[in-house]
Amino acid sequence: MNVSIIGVGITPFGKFPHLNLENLGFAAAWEAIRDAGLTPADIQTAYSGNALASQLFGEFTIGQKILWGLGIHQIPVINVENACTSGSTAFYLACLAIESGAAEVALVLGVEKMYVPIKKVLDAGANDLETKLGFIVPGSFAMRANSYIKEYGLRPEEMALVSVKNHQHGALNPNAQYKETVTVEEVLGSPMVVSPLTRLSCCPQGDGAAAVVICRSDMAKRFGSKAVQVKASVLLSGSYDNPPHLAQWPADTRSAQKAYQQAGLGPEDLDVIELHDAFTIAEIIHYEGLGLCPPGEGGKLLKERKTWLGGSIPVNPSGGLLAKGHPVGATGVAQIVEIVQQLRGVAGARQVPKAKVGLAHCMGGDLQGDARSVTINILAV
Amino acid sequence: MSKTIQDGLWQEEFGKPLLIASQCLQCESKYFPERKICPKCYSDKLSTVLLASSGIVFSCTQVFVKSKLIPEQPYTVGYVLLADGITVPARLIGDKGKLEIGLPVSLAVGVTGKDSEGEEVIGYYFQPPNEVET
Repeated sequence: MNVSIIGVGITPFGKFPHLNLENLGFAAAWEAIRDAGLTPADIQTAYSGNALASQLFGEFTIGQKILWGLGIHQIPVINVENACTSGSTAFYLACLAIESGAAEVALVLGVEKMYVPIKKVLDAGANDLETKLGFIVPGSFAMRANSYIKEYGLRPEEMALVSVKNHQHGALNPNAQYKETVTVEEVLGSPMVVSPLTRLSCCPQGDGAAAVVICRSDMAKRFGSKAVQVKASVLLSGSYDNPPHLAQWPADTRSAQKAYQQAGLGPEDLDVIELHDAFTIAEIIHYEGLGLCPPGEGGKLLKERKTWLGGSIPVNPSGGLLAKGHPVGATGVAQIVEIVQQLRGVAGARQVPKAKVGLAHCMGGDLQGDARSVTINILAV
Repeated sequence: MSKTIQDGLWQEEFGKPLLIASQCLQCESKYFPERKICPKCYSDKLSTVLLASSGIVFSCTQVFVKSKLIPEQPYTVGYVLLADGITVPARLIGDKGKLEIGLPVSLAVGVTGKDSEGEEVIGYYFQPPNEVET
């Protein structure tokens, strides 16, 4: 692709009762524009990812409102909702806008505020038959975990290692919601949410925002080593086969193949990965979807510490959704920010040495046993 | 008369409930609930068929999160693989220790929970055959 990232911005993730969507979005967008060495006047189009503001605050078209705070006006602004991939879908669309020549410089924003004074239960798809039957979002992951355990004999202690690893990584990330490490015993001993997933096997709710500025790669040359190339940007919906394949996400495999083809790279070329570890089991299944190992061997990869910082292919050095946090609309952009920081070599204590190629994977929603949305972005320097 | 969880999901045949599905007239694939277009061959020629009343648990989970819709804590949901070869999402009711992948279950209809106004709702669920009411 003829697209490069030239600026990134991110807020800490966590519970911020004193901050609203505009405060969060402003902070991330301003940082990204400044990081690119630009001013708000240089932004020609903007895509803003958010999933929950309409449900939680009755807000809509928040992209325009946030950007107006930066003085940005009279440009195309598109608000994007695609569940957990809202932010990464915004990025995908912005890349298409640059590729098509519709714009030369674009801003991508992901923002979410989930921590509200009056605790509201998130109604995901209240009209879906599954929801009426009693299915809840973590439940679809729990059923996957049970199917995976049955098929491949994964042990609860092995699955818990995902949370242990990502909390260990999160402890090295100043922006992470959780900076405390956890043990296998603590993960397994925390209260059950949906069997076999305990509270520490599930990502937290939180607030946060992330932003990136992208432009045509030929224009990015003047940004030197700060520019990061977008090698592939893929978005797909699922295949919804019946019976479903619960020990995998077919949409993962297809998206990964398409992204590797677009980039002319394979899983063996990756130095660092951020992926959608909303629940412990998800990370293990995503290893397999991304082709890091054959089906059924994700637990082994983890146990051999290959996906830990210091291993051959570190996964979620930011702490992932489990520890860094998961403000839904911000997540997809935050993963891209982390990969950019890794490739620029500015990731501090969690830096993967000499990282040149990175992949960000995000997944949104569940529909009849497959993801509603998968995005994969491959970045390189 | 209580309201049902959703219209058009099942009908009684000789006093037994059966789930209502669509079958593609072109590729014979079955879908529950009913749908208008077959996603396998994109045909819009589908007929209404009734599904088998029994199957096995394909996967399931016990939900420990408090629910407005279901007073029972924890409760179990899952996918049931029917003799027709397709899975359907369902509440699973029965001895919690025994509800696991591979367990044979049969369809039943009864009170499964409440709606958002707190009124009783009739839904379908699956339970182990020896727990079927006679």
